[in-house]
Amino acid sequence: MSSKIKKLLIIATFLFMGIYIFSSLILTGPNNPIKVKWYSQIYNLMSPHFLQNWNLFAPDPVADDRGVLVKLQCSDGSETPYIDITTPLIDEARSTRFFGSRELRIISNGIGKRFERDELIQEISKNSKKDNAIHEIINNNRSINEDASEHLLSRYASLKLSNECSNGTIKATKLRFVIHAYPGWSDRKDWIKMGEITQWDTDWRYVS
Amino acid sequence: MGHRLEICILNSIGKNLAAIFNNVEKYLFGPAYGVLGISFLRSIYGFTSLALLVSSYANRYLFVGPNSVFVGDEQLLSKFRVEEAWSFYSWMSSSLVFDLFYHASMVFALLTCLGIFGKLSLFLNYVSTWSFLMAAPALADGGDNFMFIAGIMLMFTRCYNRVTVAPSLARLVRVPVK
Repeated sequence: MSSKIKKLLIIATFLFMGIYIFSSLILTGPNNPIKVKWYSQIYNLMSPHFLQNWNLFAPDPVADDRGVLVKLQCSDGSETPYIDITTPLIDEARSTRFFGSRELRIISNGIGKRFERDELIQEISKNSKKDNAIHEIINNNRSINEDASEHLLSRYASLKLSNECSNGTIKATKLRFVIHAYPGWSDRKDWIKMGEITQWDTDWRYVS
Repeated sequence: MGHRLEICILNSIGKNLAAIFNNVEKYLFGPAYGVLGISFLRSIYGFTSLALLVSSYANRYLFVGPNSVFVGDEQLLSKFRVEEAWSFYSWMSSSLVFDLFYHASMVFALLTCLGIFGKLSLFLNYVSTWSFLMAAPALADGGDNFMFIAGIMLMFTRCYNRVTVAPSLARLVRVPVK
């Protein structure tokens, strides 16, 4: 290989690495003017093989116990009581020392999706609280996430609990979300004290 | 007198620091150690892929099978997956083909871990783990994300020259270390 081609190759490699490192810093870093202006270009460059995000610990770290129960409506019209689909998986995960099944993540990611917020929209909404258009975008974003969350959990439940109906076909599912907030820091030594428990039910969702 | 002592101490610190830096530099950038580190990373990449596939084995029809949570529901998959992402599992409709691919994936992961067939097995392992997690995006975590990126970066390295059980079979892409 001639030294000219070699030099060109070296320059190309450094350029490639430079662009890659710069793009991942912009994508994963906090909000900044470059991100606002060039987001779609950088995203297209990195998507899908080089994407990453760091939303596990920030801005909304998990600080409560979250679970979901499910009620089934069979095709003959009968309804089952609420079935806990979370606790058995947590018990299973805790009893496995190495490389446990990832099944629990379907539940935890399904619930997590409900609370997922777009970082950029949040940032913009901070500055313009009275703007109706922004409110609409936020509500739209929220309902998309809630729909995705319910879709995943009801699809999983209808596959997992297909034996619960006597004739084997499930017509609809209804979810019950249960959130147990931890008692505050000042009550940390009181082992009996429970935090606040919130729960809500969704509408019937028909299985397609 | 005190002045002289200071110079003496500074000199010895300087010499020792230089020696330490030399060693660190040799360790980080010296050819043999660099290749050893990168080969170790490749082996771990294969091992974690294998662990993922083995631990999901009992649930494979629920996770990535033809009628699994995501693959059986195209609409749901589009709500969770990155738009441009692809997966072999979405293109498989028969459970026989699915089972063949799943078992082949386990073999690719084992070959990557043991360092056999060079970058060919590394590439196939990348394709199979990417397919697995893009067919079930809710199962993935940040570690898998790193694994993908590391998998592509490893393709540009001499990660088959060390940590291999069969050096002759890894020779497919083997470059002699100076």
